[in-house]
Amino acid sequence: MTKLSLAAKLIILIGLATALIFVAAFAYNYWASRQTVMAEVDQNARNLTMAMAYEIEVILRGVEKVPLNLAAMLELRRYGGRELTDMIHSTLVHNREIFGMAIAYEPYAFDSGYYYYAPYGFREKDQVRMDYLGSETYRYFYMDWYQIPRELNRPQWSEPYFDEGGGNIIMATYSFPFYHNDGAERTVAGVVTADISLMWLKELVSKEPALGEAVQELDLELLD
Amino acid sequence: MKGRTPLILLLFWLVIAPGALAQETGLKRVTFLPQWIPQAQFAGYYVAHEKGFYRERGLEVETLTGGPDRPASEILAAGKVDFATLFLADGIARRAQGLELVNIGQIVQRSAFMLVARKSSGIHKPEDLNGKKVGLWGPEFQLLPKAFFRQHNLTVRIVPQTTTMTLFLRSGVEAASAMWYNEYHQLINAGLAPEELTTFLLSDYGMKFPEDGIYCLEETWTRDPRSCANFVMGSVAGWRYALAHPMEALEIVMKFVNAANVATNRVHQRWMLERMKDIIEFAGAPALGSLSAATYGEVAQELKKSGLIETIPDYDVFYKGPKDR
Repeated sequence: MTKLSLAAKLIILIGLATALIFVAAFAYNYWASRQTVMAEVDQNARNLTMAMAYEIEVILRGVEKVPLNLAAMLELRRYGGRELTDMIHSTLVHNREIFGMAIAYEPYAFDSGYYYYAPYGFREKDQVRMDYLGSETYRYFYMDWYQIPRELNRPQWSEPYFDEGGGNIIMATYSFPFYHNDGAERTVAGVVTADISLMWLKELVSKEPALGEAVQELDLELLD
Repeated sequence: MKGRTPLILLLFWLVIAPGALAQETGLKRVTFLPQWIPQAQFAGYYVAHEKGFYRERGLEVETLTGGPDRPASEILAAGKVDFATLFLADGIARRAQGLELVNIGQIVQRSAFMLVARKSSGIHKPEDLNGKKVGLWGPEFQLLPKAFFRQHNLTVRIVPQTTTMTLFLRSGVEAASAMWYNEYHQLINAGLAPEELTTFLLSDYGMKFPEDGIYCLEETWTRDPRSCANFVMGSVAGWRYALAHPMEALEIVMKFVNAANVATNRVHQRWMLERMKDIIEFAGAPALGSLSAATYGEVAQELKKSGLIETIPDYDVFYKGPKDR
């Protein structure tokens, strides 16, 4: 077996040591760069989510103002049926982010001849359509969108729900109670509502590619 | 218990439905209304429909969607549906009030009805409910809690309750109605810990009332006992299959749930199906589909004692289903 010279041994040793240092430096650089990039991606996603949340928040706050204003008007005087439907129609025409609106009265509060009285406007194929809610199979007094703000005596957002018999879509409703003043007595007369379509919300979030994947995952979870 | 069930059901067929095993040349169309929205509470009926257990018995069953706006006993009374499910207590009360309906099969043998309240609202014992706002479902489901209120001499403000627990979760009522297999689990899923809740399971207060049973008008039963027996037999077969094959049953339940746009999820429906097994097929349970005279008597006596009925309908007039011998 040939014995290596001292020079050769030194060359091999130094070479191995240099290679080891190079690999370690490369690995550290890769790890550090990855951490930096991931932190930036994470921060960007947070910023995007916050921006989207603020955008949604601004829209929702705007939606909330509409029933508030209508409720204030309804307390000034008693309106006729035609005036109510015109009010709803006009409000929907000028507020594209609202899918539907109702002015739903307590039993006999609109007129002693009507147990249910709830004119409802909603969008259908770029048109605003009018309908009336309330029947033995759609007792709106006991629907969350009516009952909860009425019982709590304050405006409320509903949980998302499929509105069968109303808009027939998945929606969330903001409801604002309004009152009649009979002398000194102030009684609940009904609830003004504004519906937002959850499909609209989904489309809004889907426009952001970074959040699109999360929306798809959410869809799958909802389907399950 | 399981081993003798087929024999009992065979006796039922032989006694009141002679010839029912004969091959049908055409299917008889009947309608069925479960008393609530589509969910695993009715898994056996959905399974019977999907697996062809009704068709095998000569029936084409149209299953309608129930719910708070479609009170089963009223729709049954109006003759708009052939079969419906009702709580036993409600069935007895309706019969006592003069509605000529009959129970042709008792599926759920235990009570799962409870009242729930937050401990933070100061409700720890029944007496604490006095003067409080309590959510109750429609008249169909009010007999048990009203018997409970009378038992404890309570005066409460009743607030109509719908299919969700949102009013309770947002503190619109201090207590609410819940079924152990449904709303109780919804509350836990909504983030409330079991130790935050006071629960009054009414069966713990002497109200061991069997719940879902199959009903039809007496006139329907008199006119066509064979179809009634076939419907019960198909339903019992559906329940037996659903409890033995829960994952397959869950798929079928989700199909009905999704078609009706019910806001729920698979995890919740799975919990519900497991709990249904607990109240249908437990150790010592009577034969699936049967209602004993003794159980009937206990429930009817309790209703009379609570002042909810004045007279007790005769067991043989009220019950036409299979007997657990």
